[in-house]
Amino acid sequence: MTATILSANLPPSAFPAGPLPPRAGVGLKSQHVEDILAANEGSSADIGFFEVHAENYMGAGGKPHDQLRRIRERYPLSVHGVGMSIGGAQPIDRQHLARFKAVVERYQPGMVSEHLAWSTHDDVFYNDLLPVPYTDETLRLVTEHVDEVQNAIGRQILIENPSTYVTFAESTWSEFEFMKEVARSTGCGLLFDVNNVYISATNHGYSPEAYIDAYPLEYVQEIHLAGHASDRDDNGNPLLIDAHDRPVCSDVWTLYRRTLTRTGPLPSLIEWDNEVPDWPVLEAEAAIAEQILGSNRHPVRPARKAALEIL
Amino acid sequence: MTAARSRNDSDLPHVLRMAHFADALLNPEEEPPQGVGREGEPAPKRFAVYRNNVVVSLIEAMKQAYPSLLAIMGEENFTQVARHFISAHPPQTAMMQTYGGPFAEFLENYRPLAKSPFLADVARAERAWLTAYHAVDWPVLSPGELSMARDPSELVFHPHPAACLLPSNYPLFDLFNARETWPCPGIDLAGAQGALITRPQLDCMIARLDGTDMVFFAALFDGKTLETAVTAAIEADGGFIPAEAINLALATGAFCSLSRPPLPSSNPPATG
Repeated sequence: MTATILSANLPPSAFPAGPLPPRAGVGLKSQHVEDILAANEGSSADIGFFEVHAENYMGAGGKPHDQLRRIRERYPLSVHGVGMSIGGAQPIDRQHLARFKAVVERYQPGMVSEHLAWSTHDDVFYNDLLPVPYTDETLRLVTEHVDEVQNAIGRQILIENPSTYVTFAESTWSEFEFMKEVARSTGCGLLFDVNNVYISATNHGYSPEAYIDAYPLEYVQEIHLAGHASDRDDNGNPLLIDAHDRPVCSDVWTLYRRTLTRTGPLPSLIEWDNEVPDWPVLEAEAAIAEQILGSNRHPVRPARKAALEIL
Repeated sequence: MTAARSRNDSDLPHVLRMAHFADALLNPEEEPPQGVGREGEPAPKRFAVYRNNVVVSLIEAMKQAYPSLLAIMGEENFTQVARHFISAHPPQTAMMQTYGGPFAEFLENYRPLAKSPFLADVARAERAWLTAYHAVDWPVLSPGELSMARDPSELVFHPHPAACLLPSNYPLFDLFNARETWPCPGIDLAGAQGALITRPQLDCMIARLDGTDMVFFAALFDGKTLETAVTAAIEADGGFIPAEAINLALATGAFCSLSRPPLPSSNPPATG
């Protein structure tokens, strides 16, 4: 009885609280919502969480908010920004930040994340995640911007490692050291995109395994997985494109397993944003991640905890 | 990790680096910025991935916002016009659902399409549809509110926040519905059809408004009383049936509330 009275008194925006579970999630697409919820009534859309792009919910009302409210009532949620331009030289756009904050307050997600990238210069938004040189100057800018976002929304965010097609002559930091320093100095967490690691490593000719082994995985709280397209650059070198338009490739699954061996199970998102298939295809993709997560359910972390309890 | 530099661009402050990068993104004639490539060597094809991402994603956003124009103009023509629009009006916020807002005004002044002035009306209707889709959730005027009101002829009707009235000299209703059929059938451009776009619940709708109905709705949207709107419509054509027009207003959710204008006698004198 008490519980009923309590929940009746909660404001309509109160959703199930708590962090994302260490399970497989899927990027939410409008066209899948009814399939997901219909299955959910028969308790069969067994997805650990959903992730949305914050920008798609910055309108005032209508169907997008109705759909997301119904999803949020049943599932944990991650809000992922694609337009904050954290790697830009200019100050964070206050209006955009206010809209971002409103989405976070409205949906109370388990996780909030953004990218190590820029998308705005002067007054133009380029609608792409553009690459950042790794210098002392950009480190200072990124750090200030992450601080500003975290202060504005009053909670920690995760920053995602980019997929890149070019490098900059002026870079003086390695990417993983840069990411580590951002996390260390701002207290933000990291979102580890394994597909991005594979793309950047292939495009720039280094070993993705060595990158993962050197990466500050202790800061990672969520993983992204996606498919990519293959091309060749001007000199015939492989050039992978972060297309999010197909299944995760087997090399990326292998790198994912390698990552989990060190981190233990983490919330792991399937991103599929172009040539979006029917819901069952995405559900099956998530099931693969779920299976890999399941085989990592007895990792280092609980063992460590048990050892501490004994001490 | 080394500070040794040979390249001119290497000590650029980030803001200049971004300026060069950004300029080259939307200008295909511009060389990719120096010091950007593979291991510091130029790699135009790599830079072209970013160029392509930006332009293709914005064309895609325009296609999603203007499916009727896409159907009417065809993929090739639409893409060409969209490219010109993108160069002239790149996005200014990350809310892509608002991108392409000034497309109607752009089309009005776009010389190659000067002989197709109806396209701007279609763009206005499609923008109104998208605006309605994202508009604030707000209840529509219920039939009960109107039937319970005293002296309804004295009332003014407040447009619902999602509602948009679109008069046109062209068959706008048919042109808008080109999005429903692919390939687009030939549309007879003779005859005028106005349109009313609304969102009574979560789904947008479009109603065709001709002749006296348009006169009536235009008067109400303009803040005139019900009586003035009915009079205007009857003066336009004696065959106007007020009850049918009012039912259409209720069924479409064009209005959200009623009020009474202040009585003329209660107005303060214009001058002392």
